[in-house]
Amino acid sequence: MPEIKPYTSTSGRPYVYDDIEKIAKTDPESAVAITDDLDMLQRDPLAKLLTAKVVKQLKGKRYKALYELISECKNFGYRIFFSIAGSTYWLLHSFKKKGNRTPTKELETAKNRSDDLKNQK
Amino acid sequence: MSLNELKERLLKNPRFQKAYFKRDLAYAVSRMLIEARVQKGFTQEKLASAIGTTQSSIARAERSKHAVSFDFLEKIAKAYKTYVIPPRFAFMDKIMAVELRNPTIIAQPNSSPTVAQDTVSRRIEGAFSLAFIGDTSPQMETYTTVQPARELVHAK
Repeated sequence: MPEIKPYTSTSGRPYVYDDIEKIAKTDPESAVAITDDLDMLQRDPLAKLLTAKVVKQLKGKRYKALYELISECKNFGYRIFFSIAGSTYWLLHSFKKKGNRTPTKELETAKNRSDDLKNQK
Repeated sequence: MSLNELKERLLKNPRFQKAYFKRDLAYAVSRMLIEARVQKGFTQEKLASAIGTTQSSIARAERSKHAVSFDFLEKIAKAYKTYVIPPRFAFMDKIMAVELRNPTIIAQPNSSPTVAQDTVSRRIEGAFSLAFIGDTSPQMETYTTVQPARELVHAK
C-alpha cells in the first residue's frame, strides 16, 4: 500500500493538510469527501483510479510527472496535485477548482515543489 | 504528519465529526456507480443504451449532486446482470457501533487497522452496492489487465 506524505515548507507546515483543515472549519462535509478520496488513493491501485478517472496524469511535457486527485464536493471541485516517488505519494498542492481550465499558477506551484523534492534527494 | 494523524486532528472538530458519521450518501453512491461501471468495462454510452436512457443521465448520476433512485439502481443492476444490496442503518453494523462510541479508533494506526479499514471501505462503497454474481470477493482484481499510464512511477 502506498504511503501518502504531504510536502512541507521549510518551517514544517504541511500545505495540503493545512488547507483541508481550513476547509473542515467552514465546510466539514466537503472535508469529509476529500479525506475519503485520500483514503481511496491510499487503498486502491493507481491503475484502477486512473481508469475510473478519479486520478489523472497531467498533460504536457512539463507537467507529466504530476498527477491530480479529483474530488467533486457538494459545493466545489477540489484538486490535489501529487507526484510519485517509489511507493510514496507526495501531496504537493491543492486548490478549489473554479473554471474549466487549471490555472497555470497552481500548476507551477506544484511543479516547483516537485522539483524541490527531487533536489532534496 | 500521516493521513491518519490528519484524520485524528480533524475528528477533534465536532462539526467535522458530525459530518464524518453522517456521510454524504449521494457522493458515496456516485463513486460506487463509477467504480462498478469501470469494473464491468462499460462506457457511459454503452450503459445508457443497455438501460434505455441517455449518456448524460448516467453522467449526472455519477456527478454526485443528488442521490439516484432505487429504480435507477435496479435498472443498472439488471444491465450488469447482478442485484443491489440494500443499505443498512449504522447501528445494525457491529463494527460501526464500536467506532461510533470511540471515534478515534480509525485514527489510531496500531489499533487493529483491519477493522478500521474494513469499516471505512464499507461505509464508502457499501452504502449501496452492486453485487456481481459469481464474485468471491468484493475487491475484484480485474485492473491488472488495465493498461498502465505512461509513467506510473518515476522513481529514481
